[in-house]
Amino acid sequence: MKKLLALLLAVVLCLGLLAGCGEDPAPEGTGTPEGEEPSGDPVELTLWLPVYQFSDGGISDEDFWNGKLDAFEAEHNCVVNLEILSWTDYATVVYTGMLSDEGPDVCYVTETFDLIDAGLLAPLDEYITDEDRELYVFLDQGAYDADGNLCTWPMMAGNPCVIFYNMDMLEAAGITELPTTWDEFFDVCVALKEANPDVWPFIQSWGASNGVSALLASFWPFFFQAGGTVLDEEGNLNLDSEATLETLNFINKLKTEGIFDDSIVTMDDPNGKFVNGEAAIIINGTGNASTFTSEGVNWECSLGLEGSGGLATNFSVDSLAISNFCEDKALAAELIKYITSAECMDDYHEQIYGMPSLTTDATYTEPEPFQSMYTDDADKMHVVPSFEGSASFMDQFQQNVQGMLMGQLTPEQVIDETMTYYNEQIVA
Amino acid sequence: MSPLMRRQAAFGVAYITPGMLIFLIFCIAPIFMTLFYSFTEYNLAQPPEWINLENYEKVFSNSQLRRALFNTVIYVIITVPLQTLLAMFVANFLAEYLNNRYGRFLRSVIFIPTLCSYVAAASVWEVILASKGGLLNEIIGIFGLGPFNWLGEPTSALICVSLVAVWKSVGYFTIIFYAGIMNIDVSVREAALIDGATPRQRFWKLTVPLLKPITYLNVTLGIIWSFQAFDIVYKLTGGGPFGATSTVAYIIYAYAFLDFRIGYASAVAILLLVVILIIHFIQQHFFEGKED
Repeated sequence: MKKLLALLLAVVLCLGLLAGCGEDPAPEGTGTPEGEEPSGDPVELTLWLPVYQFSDGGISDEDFWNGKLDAFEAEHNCVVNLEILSWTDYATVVYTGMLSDEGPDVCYVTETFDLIDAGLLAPLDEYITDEDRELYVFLDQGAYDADGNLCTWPMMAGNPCVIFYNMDMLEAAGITELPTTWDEFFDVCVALKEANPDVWPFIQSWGASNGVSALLASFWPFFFQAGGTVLDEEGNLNLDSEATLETLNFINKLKTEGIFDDSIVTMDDPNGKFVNGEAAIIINGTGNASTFTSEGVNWECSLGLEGSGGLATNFSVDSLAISNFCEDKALAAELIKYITSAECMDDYHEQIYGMPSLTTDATYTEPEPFQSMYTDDADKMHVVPSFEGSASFMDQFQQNVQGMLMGQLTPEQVIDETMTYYNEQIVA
Repeated sequence: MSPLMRRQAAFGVAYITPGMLIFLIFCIAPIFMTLFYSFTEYNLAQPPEWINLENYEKVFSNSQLRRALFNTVIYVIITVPLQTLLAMFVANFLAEYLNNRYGRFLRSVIFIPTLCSYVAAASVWEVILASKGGLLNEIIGIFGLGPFNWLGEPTSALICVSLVAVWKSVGYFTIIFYAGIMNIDVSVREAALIDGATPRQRFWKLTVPLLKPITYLNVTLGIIWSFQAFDIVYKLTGGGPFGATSTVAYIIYAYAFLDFRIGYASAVAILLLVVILIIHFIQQHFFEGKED
């Protein structure tokens, strides 16, 4: 009898295991066809957004959006299932999540090349009206597929990498004016080093955990100032260029002249060093300004420096996109428009995370000096586009720049070895 | 076969079926799937496309991978012998001299790094190894040495991450060795004592030979885990400087889940599997040879 019971138990376990491997029956279509009145059953949309509330005590992202989405749900007879994701491996989570109809209908996306290349995003053009094109100021900064269809709708556009200066240290070194060119910047760094050898004049993060993070504030601002473009007119990677060489030569000069010390290639936190008074200058996103202020740093900033290509820097454009699995894309597009409307974003920028307003009717303005940058120097801010194998490329580029900073590679070798690797291993 | 034996065999099969199914689905099948994908171009979203040996051709000409494989081998060479010997000595010390409540306390303390998350461990070691104001540099500074850029120099960076990995895992292997020592027949030990064997003789002539199966287990696990090293390395150095601490496991992760080149990542994973198997067979031969 005991053996029979044990056998039954084993059979049940096997059945359970096999049942677990089975698929759910395909869901019935629940979307409301365009032009029809919504039926009795509310349509369900799943929305994935990343966490942006980084300060203590403020309203959480989840509470904020759930409060805002109530009105949308009531108006459209739908239910929006909101999920707030952490930033850990965000692009990977989004990509794998969008592979099936179990994933999000509407999702906040950062890296777009792979999503578009894999055909996971729905084109948005048919949902964009002429009024939308006039209303949304960053709409053309979204990502496009090979046929020129817009696939992402900008939601967070801004956070340019600007140069923060610790004014107490600059004044102690007798510097009263912020530098405007690469040469002036170098001279300021030298003067800071002479005035206080124990402090890093300028700090970068070439030891960051991945290439994307390392290049963000350490390479791209200088690259755009040197007149560089990431992709050529045909969409091919364009980093085997004079601008790249000029940028690397300047970074190398900072190292060889002792502006950087050897720990430039370690994972030491540059922000922490700037806040603690161990470094006088840092390039970082404008979003860090509030932290510097709250930590008591007497800072001033400038958008960037003038290189051979003029004044420039990089900024980020993260967007919302509709999954190709979404069953009611028209409703999803309405949700995107609602989220990015002034009704939501004005409060979002006030309560969660400050960024430039997305629409012409918005009332939120960034604190100075950043608002002036957006109004006066918008044409000097460049987006780093997503391209094939960008993560691996940037990892390899970062490692080779580390080699240059350690005196093992020349700037020319950095470009040559990285491009060879990219062409032979990534896009071959 | 008698009916009784057939019935018993049927029960036996039935008992192991759930476990076997789990093992087949989650352990064996993925190996064959990885092998299949290694001959394809696959990005998870579209069906895999068969491309014969293209991925392997690229793998063998990949300088980044060669460097990572070299680093990984050095990492294994540093960590495995060190953590095995250290664990064996500590376990022997605990069993021989501290088989009391102090020993039990010490066993728990030694095990703490194993329980610690990699992120927490890396954060602590970052502070200790920091080039400016780091604890280690402060200590050696007392003797007029340094400061050294421990994680900023290729050689010292790889040694440092290897030593942190040893610190993290030595407690685990100590516990296994300790259990093995406690399992040695008391009469054997008593006989050695009566024969006048010194502690050193008891350790080398008695404990070490009798712990051979445990040592084999620890070395095997150590090699496999070290080849898969990822977390602690990337939390401490991010693979830098200049690729000096990049490991094969991270490269597989980056190809698969940052670039979504599953086929290529699978080819690298198969290569890693082959390397581990070769080393495992050499190690097996070494241990069997000693037994003969």
